[in-house]
Amino acid sequence: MNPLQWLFSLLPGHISCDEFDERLDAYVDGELSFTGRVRMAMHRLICTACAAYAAAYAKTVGLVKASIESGNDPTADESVSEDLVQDILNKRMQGGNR
Amino acid sequence: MDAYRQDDETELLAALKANEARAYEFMVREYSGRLLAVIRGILRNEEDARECLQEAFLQAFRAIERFEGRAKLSSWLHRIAVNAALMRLRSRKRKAEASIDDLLPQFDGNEGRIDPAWQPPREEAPPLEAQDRKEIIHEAIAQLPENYRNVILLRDIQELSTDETAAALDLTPGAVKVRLHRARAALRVLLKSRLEDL
Ligand SMILES: [Zn+2]
Repeated sequence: MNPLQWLFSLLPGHISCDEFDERLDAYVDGELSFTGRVRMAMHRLICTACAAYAAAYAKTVGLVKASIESGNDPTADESVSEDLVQDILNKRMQGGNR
Repeated sequence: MDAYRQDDETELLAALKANEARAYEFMVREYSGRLLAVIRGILRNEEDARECLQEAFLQAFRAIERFEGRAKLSSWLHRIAVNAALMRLRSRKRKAEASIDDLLPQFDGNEGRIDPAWQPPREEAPPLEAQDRKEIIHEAIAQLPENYRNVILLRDIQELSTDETAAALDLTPGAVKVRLHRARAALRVLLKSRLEDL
């Protein structure tokens, strides 16, 4: 802990790096209350390690969310040939189902 | 062919469990388009994607008996298909599963965060194409142990709530939160070493 962090740690509502980490998902997912968000923002101001961590963490979550189709994209190419459908059904009949 | 209701899957599920051929045909026709699109996005090779779709359906056929309908059939199939595609990608790249413990953040006894302060400067590399970036992200997700990967798929890809994810995976909401946090933290570490801007 550096002297500035120590000073801030005396303020009411201060949270530790550990607590910051515990609340990070709720923060990134927009599930924290206003007070909760303020506490996180305060911690980011005084702790560069957590600030950098949270930025990379949020970016990671964004990248992951954008990387795989959820299966609900109306513009996706959903063409399937009849022979593929038949292949799948035949495989089941050949005992692939049990 | 008779259609089954989309809003209430009880009838379809019962027919699948009773091994009724028309129910299987309905399921394959109804979902294969969407699933193939999802798999194509991961494998980017038509032949591979078609094989993977067959594999995914065979897995689903074998597992349907144990499927309890706590999640929607579509999200259950989506998870099976994405897992099959990621596993195929992982073996294509010969990547091993990562140990989650090695990838979690650490704290000193004083509640402060310990992050590796110095890291060797990365060599100048040409900027990555968007598709290559996606592939790196897919590889990282594929490296997660399955019980962490499933939570990521349900929470971050399918955007189910914590409670829905808990029900689908037969976990407590608390366990879902813990796994989601560990999985995201591990992905940050896995991606950090490969994406310049992270
Ligand atoms: Zn901190």
